[in-house]
Amino acid sequence: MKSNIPRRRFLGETGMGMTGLALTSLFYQDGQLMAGQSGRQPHHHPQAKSVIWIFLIGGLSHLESFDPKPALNTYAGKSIDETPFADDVLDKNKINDVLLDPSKQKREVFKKLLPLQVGYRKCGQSGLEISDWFPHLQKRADDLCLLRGMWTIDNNHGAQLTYHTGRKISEGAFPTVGSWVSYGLGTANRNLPEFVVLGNPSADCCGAAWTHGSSYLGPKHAGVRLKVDSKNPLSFVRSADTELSPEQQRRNFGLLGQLNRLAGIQYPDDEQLQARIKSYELAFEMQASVPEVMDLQQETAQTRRMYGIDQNTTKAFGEKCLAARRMAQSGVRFIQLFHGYRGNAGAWDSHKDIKKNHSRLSSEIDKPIAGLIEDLKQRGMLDETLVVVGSEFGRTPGAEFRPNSTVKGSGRDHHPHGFSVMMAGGGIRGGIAHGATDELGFHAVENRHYVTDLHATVLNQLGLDNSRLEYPGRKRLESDVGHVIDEILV
Amino acid sequence: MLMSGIAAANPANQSALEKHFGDLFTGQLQKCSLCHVSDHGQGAGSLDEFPHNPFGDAIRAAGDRLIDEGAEDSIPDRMKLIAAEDADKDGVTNLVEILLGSMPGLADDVPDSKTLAKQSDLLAKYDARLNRYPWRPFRQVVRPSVPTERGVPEGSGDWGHNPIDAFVAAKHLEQGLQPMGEASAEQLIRRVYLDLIGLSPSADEIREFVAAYSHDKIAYDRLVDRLLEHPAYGERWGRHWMDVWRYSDWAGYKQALRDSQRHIWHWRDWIVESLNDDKGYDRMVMQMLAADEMQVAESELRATGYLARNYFANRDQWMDNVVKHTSQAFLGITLGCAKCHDHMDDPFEQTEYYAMRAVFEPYQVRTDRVPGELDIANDGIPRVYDQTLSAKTFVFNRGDERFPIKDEPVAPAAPETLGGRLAVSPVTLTRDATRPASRPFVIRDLLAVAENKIQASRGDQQRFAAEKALEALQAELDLEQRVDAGLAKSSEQWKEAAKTILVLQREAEKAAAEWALQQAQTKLSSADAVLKKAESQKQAAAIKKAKTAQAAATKAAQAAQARLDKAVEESNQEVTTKFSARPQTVYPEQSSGRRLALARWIVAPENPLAARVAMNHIWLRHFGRAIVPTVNDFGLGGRPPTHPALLDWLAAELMDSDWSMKRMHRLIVTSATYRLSSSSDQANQSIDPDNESYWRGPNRRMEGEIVRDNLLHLAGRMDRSMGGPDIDHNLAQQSPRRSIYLRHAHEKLVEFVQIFDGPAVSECYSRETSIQPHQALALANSKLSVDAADAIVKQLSADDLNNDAFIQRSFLKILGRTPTSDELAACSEFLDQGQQPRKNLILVLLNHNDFVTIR
Repeated sequence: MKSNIPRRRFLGETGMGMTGLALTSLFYQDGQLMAGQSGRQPHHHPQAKSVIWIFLIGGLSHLESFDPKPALNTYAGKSIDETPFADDVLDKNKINDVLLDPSKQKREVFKKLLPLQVGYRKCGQSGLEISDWFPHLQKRADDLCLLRGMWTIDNNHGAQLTYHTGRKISEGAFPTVGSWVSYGLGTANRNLPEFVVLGNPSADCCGAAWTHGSSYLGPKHAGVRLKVDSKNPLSFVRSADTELSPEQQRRNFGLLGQLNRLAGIQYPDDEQLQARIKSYELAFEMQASVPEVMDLQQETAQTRRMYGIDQNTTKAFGEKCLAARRMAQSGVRFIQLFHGYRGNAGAWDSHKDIKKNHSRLSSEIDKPIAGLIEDLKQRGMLDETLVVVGSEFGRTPGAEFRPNSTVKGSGRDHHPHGFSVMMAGGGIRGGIAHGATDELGFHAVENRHYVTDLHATVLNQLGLDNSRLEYPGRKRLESDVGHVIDEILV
Repeated sequence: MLMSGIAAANPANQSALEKHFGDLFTGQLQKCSLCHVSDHGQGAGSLDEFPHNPFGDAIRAAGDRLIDEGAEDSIPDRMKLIAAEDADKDGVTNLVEILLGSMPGLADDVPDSKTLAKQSDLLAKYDARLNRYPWRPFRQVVRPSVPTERGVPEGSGDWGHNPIDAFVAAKHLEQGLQPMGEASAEQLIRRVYLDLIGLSPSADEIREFVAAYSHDKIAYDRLVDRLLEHPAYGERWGRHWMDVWRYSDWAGYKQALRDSQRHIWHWRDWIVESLNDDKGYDRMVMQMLAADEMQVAESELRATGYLARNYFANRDQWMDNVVKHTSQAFLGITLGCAKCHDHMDDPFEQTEYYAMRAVFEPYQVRTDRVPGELDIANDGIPRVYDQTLSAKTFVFNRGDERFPIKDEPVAPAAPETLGGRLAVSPVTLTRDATRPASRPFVIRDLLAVAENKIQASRGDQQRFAAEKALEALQAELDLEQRVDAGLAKSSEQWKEAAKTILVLQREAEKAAAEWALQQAQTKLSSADAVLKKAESQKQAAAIKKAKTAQAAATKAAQAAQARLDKAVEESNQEVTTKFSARPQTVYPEQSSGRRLALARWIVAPENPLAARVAMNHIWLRHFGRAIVPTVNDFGLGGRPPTHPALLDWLAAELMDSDWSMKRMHRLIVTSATYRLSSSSDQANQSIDPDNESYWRGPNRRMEGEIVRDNLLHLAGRMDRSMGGPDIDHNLAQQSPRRSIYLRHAHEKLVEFVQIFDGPAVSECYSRETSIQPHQALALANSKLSVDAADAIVKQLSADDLNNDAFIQRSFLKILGRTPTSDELAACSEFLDQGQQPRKNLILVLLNHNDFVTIR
């Protein structure tokens, strides 16, 4: 709503429709109107209320998680050239067509096939195949939908940003899927942000704060980072003025909101000001709500165990997943969890020793995510909570070799041509796989989906039509908008 | 998404077309059917299933043709080939159809006559777009002509004060933007104060300026001059440059060095002082890279803190940081990307990464003493010098340091594509540089310490020992001087002197040992006495303790006796020339001159990047938006400039102004562009929502440091003293010093500053501005804010004001403006009730959007 807000509308939108407003009513009663998008209605009836969006930084191997390719074992150690699939797989056009800028994205194709580093089994009633590095998710197979035909446009880790915006990193910041949710729906709970970020986001190389940013939608729709630390859940959460009564603090925030709105009459389209007004209202409430929602001790020992919080390997991510559930329960719309921050490309980036690396990382997230799904189901929340797990791209079928280096065939390189995303709940069918890569897991060949199809689907479940989400003065490309993956909807 | 290959090409070609046409590409064309027969390719597996329309065929054929001819194939090249063709044979050419927003591959879709009338205008715009000012960042800067002679383009009225405005106005005209009027005098003074010195103006300063400016526009120029001479200017802009040059305090634990160096704050002080002296950007860059190879005052060696800060335990990582960041900070190129292979986007070969590394290969860091402090653990100047002139650099195979290609060492050089030849010639260093321990002040300090020992001695023997030690030192220093004057070590005179020193040292040691023994024996007897007393009192614990003490005293006495025995024995031995010389490191007498050559090359007028990159950084920090958005990457991987000609002009101007940054600041802040009001306008907004063309003034949030500084400043609590060792970051809520002086290092960051998007330690070429509830809590709840509110209310209470006057004064003081009647009413009502209402009103104003915002 950047442009053309007449004054009266600004006042209305930011909750100052009348003068002489009683201070106490400042942002408690008419809060609905203040949340920026003035209580925007969804486009259609929503299936889901919240999304828990889990991002694995660095690139999860689809071949060792959700997309079994027995041919890799059959032809292990052989070159792709020696397989019957060589022509299709190595078709240069096919390889280059995916990339946004092939001339700049030189990347060798490693042809010597690396066998699957882990076994698979058919799970649940559906018989969905999931790798043995995810024993807990295997038990939840009938709740899971695996998208096996994903593709993206960048073969380097800028794809982390692409995964969230649909655009290449060199184009700069664009609104992320979470920010569209915030923009499209506003808040369901005035005490917490509608878009929360847990865990360390992508590093500077790969989008950093842009991966949860809002770009032209304005700062009020950006993700709010929170730490999962029950001892110190929020910095500066108490006033240094020990004599300040809660009532007086309420009056202070009330006057502040009133004064900022009055100042805003002169700057009706000042995004920063609107965002700041909102951030203060939120901050006031967060003083109580964040310590409350982050107090995982309120959960039973049994629940905590379900997320693996009692074990060192799973504790850190389990706490994030549990906190995410508590936030979903409190009405947070979009909870973005990062796993695998390592200051650069990300922990999942396994150019070597993929077996050791991926098996360890999988064990950190398998139980927490499975526990999350189970917990949501037990509470009857799974239908209205959509869980999405993915990473910027998959990994190559071929083993990566770099002469005179330590990269000697024990790992896999970046792979944008085909990869997998896992979904559960929120009106998505369980126990199905949708889309497929070719026999070697190289190209997505069936029901191919670009990352923005995932966005469109997530938004659809929340009641939003991505093609109708617009921002004045901004052009969205068809590839920004994507298409809802109808086949996977309940 | 569409399918298979076609689907995949969709975002690529579509965005290439969009980029090519820019604003001239209308939304109606953002469809698959621009090139394909329909918009519904879902399910299609190949081009056969989702065929091209005639335009799609034509653009594809054009690509094939280009490839066949061996020419560069790009969407712009293809468009050039088929612009005048009419693919769908509807009588309107491809180009005109696209410009008019109809489908060039669809015969049914023909622009009507009314639309066709617009074609000449659009073709002119398209032409202008193709003939835009050429941005060639890797070629030498050529000063572009200012859009008109008067410095104001035709048709822009009398808007504009200087050439900056002419460039900006040219774009306004092109886009149909109407610049906003000038900001109010109140806003202007607050903006320029915060921008240049980082501190807000006082109520009196505002009143005075507003009055003067209303009848005398030159009052603003005078104000700018005054601010540029204010010592706080160096602190404000020092912090900006510390972002770019990635300042970090010593990050060690106990004795360990991690990144950076101890006492690196000397470099910070050098930055602040150099800026205040308006040293010249070229001089600053040269001194940071090579002060030790230049004829400069010793205090300038602090500049090499830039290189000292890059210290890393792993030498390869260290060298990598230096190459990576030197190329980004001063040249805006990402040479670091060429470590493992040739650069992906830009014409830098892998060897050129190593050629730049070779420039730095010989350097090391040392800490030189400072006057008055002999122990460099307490203070000293971390500085660089060339340690190994013969150090060789090898290319690492695929960047892996374990696999150097040793056949051929790489010579120091600058990237070829930037015209880089380095004129390297070795530099002969001064005696002060090679033997820092012989600098006069070090000698004075040594003598002073020795003299003090005499003064402080408590007994005859101790005094005697100290006197002899001083004599020995004097004799040694005397001998050093004679050697310097040419006395040979083989000469009789030297031998004689050496023997004299040895005798004095022996005498001193013997006396000192006697004194030490005496002391030890005294201690032993008192330990004996304590033990006896304890035994007589039969207290087990006391006895145990006394026994331990007695054992230790016995041991000490024995050691003292041994020392004396040794000293006596030695003094009875034959006198030789082997006196114990004072420890002093002697450094190489030559430096390779490589860094000096690189530094000279960087700031030479032929260098295409240094001035552009510098001006881009300066512009960013005045306007909150850089001309080249990717400030550390001017290559193809970065993003193109919004005002290429302006940036080139600014770069030329900087070089022609002797690289004076103050002159450039003055030019910028006195421009009409800078003075624009930051308020908005619907028409402009719809054309340029991001204000990329500067139709309105900058509107920024203060950086975290500046928020904190102004809380101190407004409260009258700020300690304005400058420089000195970094202050514990944990004291940020209490310390009255400016934030630039607080510790900033890995895991030692000021939380309050970080919450407001403070700089990362490893690199921070430009800052983000987020708005997060955490900032609200920091400003509402911190001790810093509460203390500021307390102090301000006390200040204002001194004048016994009524409520209205109190509100007026508070607004002016904190927000730099007067309240409106509505604001006055709201605040009045607030003051009528509640707990400590005045203090809380101040706290509210400190949290007001207008406090943290620089309008």
